[in-house]
Amino acid sequence: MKRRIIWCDDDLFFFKSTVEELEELYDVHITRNADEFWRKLTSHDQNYFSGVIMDVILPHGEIVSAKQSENGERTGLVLLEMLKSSGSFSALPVVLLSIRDNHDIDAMAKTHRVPVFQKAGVRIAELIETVRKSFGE
Amino acid sequence: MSFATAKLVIEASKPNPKDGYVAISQFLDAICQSLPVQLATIWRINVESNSAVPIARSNCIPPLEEQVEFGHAYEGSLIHGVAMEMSKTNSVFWQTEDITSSELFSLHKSPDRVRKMGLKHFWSISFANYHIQDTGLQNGPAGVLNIYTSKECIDKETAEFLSGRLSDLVSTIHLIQKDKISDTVLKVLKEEIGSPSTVYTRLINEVLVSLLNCQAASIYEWSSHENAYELVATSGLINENTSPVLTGEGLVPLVGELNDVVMLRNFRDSDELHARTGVFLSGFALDQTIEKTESVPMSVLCFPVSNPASPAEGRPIAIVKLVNKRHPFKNRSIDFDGDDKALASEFASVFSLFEENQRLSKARTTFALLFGHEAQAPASGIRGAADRLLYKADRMQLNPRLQRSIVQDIFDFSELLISFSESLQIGFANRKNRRARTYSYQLLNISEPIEAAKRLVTPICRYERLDFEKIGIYARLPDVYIDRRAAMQIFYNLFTNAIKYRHLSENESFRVFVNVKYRTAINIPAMAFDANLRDELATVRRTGILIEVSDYGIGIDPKNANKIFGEGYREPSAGKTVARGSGIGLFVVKNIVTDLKGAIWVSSCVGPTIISIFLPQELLYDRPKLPSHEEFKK
Repeated sequence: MKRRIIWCDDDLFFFKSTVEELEELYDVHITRNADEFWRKLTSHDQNYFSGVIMDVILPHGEIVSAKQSENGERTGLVLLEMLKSSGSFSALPVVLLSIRDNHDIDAMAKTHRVPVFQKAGVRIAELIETVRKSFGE
Repeated sequence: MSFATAKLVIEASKPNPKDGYVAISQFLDAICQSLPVQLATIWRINVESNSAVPIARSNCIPPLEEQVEFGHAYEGSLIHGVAMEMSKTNSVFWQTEDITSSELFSLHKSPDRVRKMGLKHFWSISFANYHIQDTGLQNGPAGVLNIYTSKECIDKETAEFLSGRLSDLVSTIHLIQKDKISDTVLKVLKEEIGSPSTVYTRLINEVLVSLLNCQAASIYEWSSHENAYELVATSGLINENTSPVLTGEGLVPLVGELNDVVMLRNFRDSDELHARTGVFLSGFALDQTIEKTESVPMSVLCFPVSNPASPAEGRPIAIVKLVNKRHPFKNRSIDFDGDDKALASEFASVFSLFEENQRLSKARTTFALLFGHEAQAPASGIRGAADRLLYKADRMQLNPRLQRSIVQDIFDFSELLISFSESLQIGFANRKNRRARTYSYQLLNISEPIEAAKRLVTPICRYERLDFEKIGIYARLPDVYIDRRAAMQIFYNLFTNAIKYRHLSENESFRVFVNVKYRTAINIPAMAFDANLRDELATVRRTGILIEVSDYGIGIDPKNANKIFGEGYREPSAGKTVARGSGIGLFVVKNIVTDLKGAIWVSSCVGPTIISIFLPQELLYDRPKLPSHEEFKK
């Protein structure tokens, strides 16, 4: 049986090649905003998903307020903090995707030892390799 | 003393207009030295705020308990009475040998004092501020000089001489003040270019508080990020801990909405606000931000700083609020007047250029980020698909079916990229020379661009697991003269909006209907043709085609129904559904529809959301007379 990963991104249409390629290896669960992501993640036990792929700019909602997320600009970073500070999911490996270079993102990724990829620059082989290493096969 | 001697004394006093109110007091002193004055006061009339305020008074001050008030309502006062008399006789003065026996005496605010001081001979001489009169900011006199003398000593010639001199003085003071304001604003902007916060603070201290003589001032700037006016500088707020972003009701958002000056005697008085603007706001809403003042905050002058590119249209780029005009010779506040309004307008004109520069600089950055991403998304899609092709080829995993599917993706993404570029060309070309002039009108059935738009969004629908057949077209579709690509852009933008802002949890209920009512007389909200109109109920009846695009998405807040077509506008709640959005889709649609001499409006905000588009009869194939292309362009 394929391992399950949860991917949070509201704009995956243009990333479909990567999603489809990953789907050959994993059971990919797509969520489109912070609420949907958190609800789906926490409705299962901590071992249900093997890893998280997450965009930084995401729609906020009830779980993450517009203010916390600076109107969506850092929703992914707030979710990452929530994950890492939660008892149950703190060990879940995460891969961050970002559309632009940002010192804030790099600093937080470094703190939590999370790989970050530029959406426009990442190669499919590179992402799959990282996901395989972090999430297992 | 003869008139000639009096004239000499007054001329010799040479009050310097640069000294402002001091010069007016010097002028009055000279009159008191040359004529047997018992009591003389120069009053400034402010018709708009219905007030009369003394700006200079003779040395012969009556005992404290008999002192005249430091300002009162203009209407129903003696000053108003004499101004009416002067207007009837088209004269610059009104006089009576015995004020106590005059019919106007009943209007006097201090009749006891007049009797006690034995005041009898009374002359009221009007003066003008030529600049204000020329600009039509205030009709009638700018003020009056009221003189009580112990004997009859003023004649028509003296009165006309005094009126002329005082008018010259007041007008010169005004012009000097105006110049001083522009010079100081320009000086500050020149010295502090590139440092907005210092600029704002210096403008408050060196211009608004000092030259516009108020006790407190604040500058609010439009923030497209917050969709609201945001405080950028203030001389100080009472509720300093809050960081006001004025989104809802309140004086500042109201001035932004009206795009006009609001001048109030008491800024908490809802009735006064209603009388001046026709808008009712509760005292609570008016209290949203209160500036720190030496005396109790009362009078307010709140004015818009319009966009220099289109001053009459759209939203002001900033709002300036002045609180409590300083009394010229008493430590208390008075009402703002027509002069202040004109000076504020001078400030706004110069300041708007700076604000526009700042705004453009910010807009450039935002534009680069937004459109960089919008263009990057399909380009990334193309890159991703090509990368997958390589990835598969390297691993010998390509089969013809997969190969075709990936190439189809590349094709679809390229189409979207082209469509995005079209959207930019149509929506953001020079507004005065918009694409309307280069539209290529051709006869086609309106279903053609609708179907083309549908084909373009099909891959998105397929990916999102939406049944794109649910974009249904239900009508007999007419033939029209229209630019195919522009028409397709209208429907593409409406369809992608419907997809983006659908209920994510209810994919099954995704529906978009296009309904066309052909050749009917349609009631169109007048606001759809003129965004500056305030009357939401006014309609215009026109004949043409009505196209309705409806969906069952998250809906639109009715309060914002008229704002969604604005450049860069995003519904505040949209961030919960889609993080990124350029806020240009409907703006582009509106531009195209306007170019076609049509109108667009929201006819239902929720369940379903309906966007209605009216296209005029002139575009119809079987219209009575086909205008030439040149005629249509006009």
